Amino acid sequence: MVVAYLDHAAATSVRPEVLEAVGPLLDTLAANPTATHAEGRAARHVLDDAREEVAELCGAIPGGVVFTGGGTEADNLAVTGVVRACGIEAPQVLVSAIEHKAVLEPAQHLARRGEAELALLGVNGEGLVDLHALAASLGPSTALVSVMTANNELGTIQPIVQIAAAIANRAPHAVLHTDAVQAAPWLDLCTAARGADLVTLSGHKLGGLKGVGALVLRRRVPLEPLIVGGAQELGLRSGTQDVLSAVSLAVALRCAVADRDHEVERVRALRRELWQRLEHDLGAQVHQTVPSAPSLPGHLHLSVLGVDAEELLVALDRAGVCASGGSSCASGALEANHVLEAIALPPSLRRGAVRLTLGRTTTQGEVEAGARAIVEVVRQLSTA
Amino acid sequence: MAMSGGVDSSVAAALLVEAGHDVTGVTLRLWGGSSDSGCCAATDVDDARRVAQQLGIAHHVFNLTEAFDAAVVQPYVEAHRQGRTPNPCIECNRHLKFDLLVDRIRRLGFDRLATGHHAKVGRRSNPDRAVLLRGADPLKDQSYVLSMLPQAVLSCLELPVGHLHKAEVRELAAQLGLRSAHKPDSQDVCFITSTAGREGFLAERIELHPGSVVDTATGLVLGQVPAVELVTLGQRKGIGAGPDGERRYVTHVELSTKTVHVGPLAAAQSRILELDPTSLTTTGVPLPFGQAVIVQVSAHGAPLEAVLIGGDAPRLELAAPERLVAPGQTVALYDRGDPEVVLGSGMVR
Repeated sequence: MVVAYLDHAAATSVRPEVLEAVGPLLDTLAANPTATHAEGRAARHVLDDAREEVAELCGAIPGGVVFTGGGTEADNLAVTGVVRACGIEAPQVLVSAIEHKAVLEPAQHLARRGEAELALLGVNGEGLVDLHALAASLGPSTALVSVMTANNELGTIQPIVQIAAAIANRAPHAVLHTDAVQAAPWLDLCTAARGADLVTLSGHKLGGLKGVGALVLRRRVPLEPLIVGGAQELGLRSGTQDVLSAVSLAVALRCAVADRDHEVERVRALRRELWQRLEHDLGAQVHQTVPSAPSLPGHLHLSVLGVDAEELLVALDRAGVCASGGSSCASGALEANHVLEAIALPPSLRRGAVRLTLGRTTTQGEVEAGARAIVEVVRQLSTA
Repeated sequence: MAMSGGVDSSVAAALLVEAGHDVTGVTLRLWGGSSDSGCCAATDVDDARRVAQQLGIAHHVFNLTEAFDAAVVQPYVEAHRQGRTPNPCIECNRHLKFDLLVDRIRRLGFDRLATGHHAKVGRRSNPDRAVLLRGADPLKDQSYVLSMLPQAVLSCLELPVGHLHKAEVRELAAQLGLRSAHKPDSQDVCFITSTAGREGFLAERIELHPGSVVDTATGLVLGQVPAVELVTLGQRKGIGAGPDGERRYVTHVELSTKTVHVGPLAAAQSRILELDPTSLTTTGVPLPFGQAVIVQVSAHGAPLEAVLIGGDAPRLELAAPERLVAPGQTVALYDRGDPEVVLGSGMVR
């Protein structure tokens, strides 16, 4: 039985508004949105409404949203698409060392193939990008800078506006991409990610469906598509569009924006309480990874001294607490964590690092029950 | 329940669930490198997960790649560098499948560990002491690779398929509709691929030296071997015949001079097996020094009669001469009066 679901950063439940919006469309939207007949036009209309809504909420150019099969695909399209279309000889790609694998892997893939030169931007102990290092790295060959709006594991919010300013000064031709998959439920992307040219969103982090994402275009950036065919989605993502998924993303984003001010305060207070309860009962055995840098309200990344994260997660699971150890590979095993390495978290803390993330459905009772269960599990593992 | 994704541990899990136990499946991710067989490939994790889903039990993956590298792969490489022939599967069982996993599951509040090995845990005269017994299927018996388990592990160990023949296990799997029912048995060392082989694996990690094959009796050089580190005592393969036309066997490997000494079969046999004194283990009773035991020197080798001698230079005196056993190989010791019962193990020095 689940006592506390503290893994909203991995996936959060579908919003009731999304179910209401998408449910009836399952029956009625049979036609292909590229068809020219009345039924097709109706489907296209629904799709374009969703596109326009996302564009407005994220500050895109009109219609400047490419719906994809998820955040990973949108990141891949941004990184690979920019590098292959930039026209720079030996283009340089600058990405932060704590990017999601969806950005790091395509960048490394391009570097391995000799299509780009990759430079990783270092971060400080709380995961904030080093702006001096960024400024020093920018140059005429810089094609792309990719820094996430907020980190998926730590929750640390990056100074995207300052990063954009540095690029405008030193490499105005370069494209700034930001993966806002984690930030979108919590931050106004028109301000928090102002200056970014390309923005990645993901449906299921917002309370939409899984398997849908979007790449938001703030200006006309040359992009080479990853998937070619019928030239749907501004010619950047071929294939018959998944209208229902696109609607789910748009509705989820609209609701997140409407609830935002209230939810940010509510969830931040719950996170504070969760941390205080853990700190009160476990004392110096728990260590908060991001105590002072700006961070998303739902993220509580912490380390438990003397406990192995893999064991902790299994024990928490048995106690009904859903948590995460950061990134896991496809097999489900925890892997060496590049984010914790990049922030130089000492090995003793890295060993017991877990991510607790709160969200829209988190309640006071869940935080209390979750804290109790976590304390009990930690004590059990520490004494055994 | 340690679930490799293979048919034995799948059926073992099913039997435990059927018996009404509260079962949690766990798959160990051991080898981070490339692999084409054995227990660590991603598809095996998928198989284990699917079986756990079918059985309605929780399933977790433990990433023990670092511990596996430190406790199994590095010592394996180092032993080869020193000219020994280790058995990595035994070291994996000793350090990971049992020591580390038992530790971990105890902390997590589980009381028993189950695996899909073909062996049995039973009781004999002392009801408080668990004894390790040969599996029911003589062709699949795995008591050899478990012979180093101490009483502390045996006392919390369940081996649910040990009383079954392999054919029965497969039949049960098919009846239950488990996806692993027709999966082939895992064969070789999981971290060595069939394409690169042992030589390819080691060549990337240590320097391998070619050597000369010298016939001890005549002093003649009979040929060359590509890597003296890979030659095993008693080996015949790749050695060829002596000047008399008789087959030659490796009698001694001299790493310092890169020389492989060979002789006729009689010279590559011995009645004495010297054991490393620090390697002796017991499953729970004092080893019967000075008395006759049954020994087995490889996973599916024949049972041999021997007398176990203790002291500073422990050894086995075999009833009849046998092919030399390479240093680093494990010897399982069985009770002569009750030959199903494992007494303990040692390692050839």
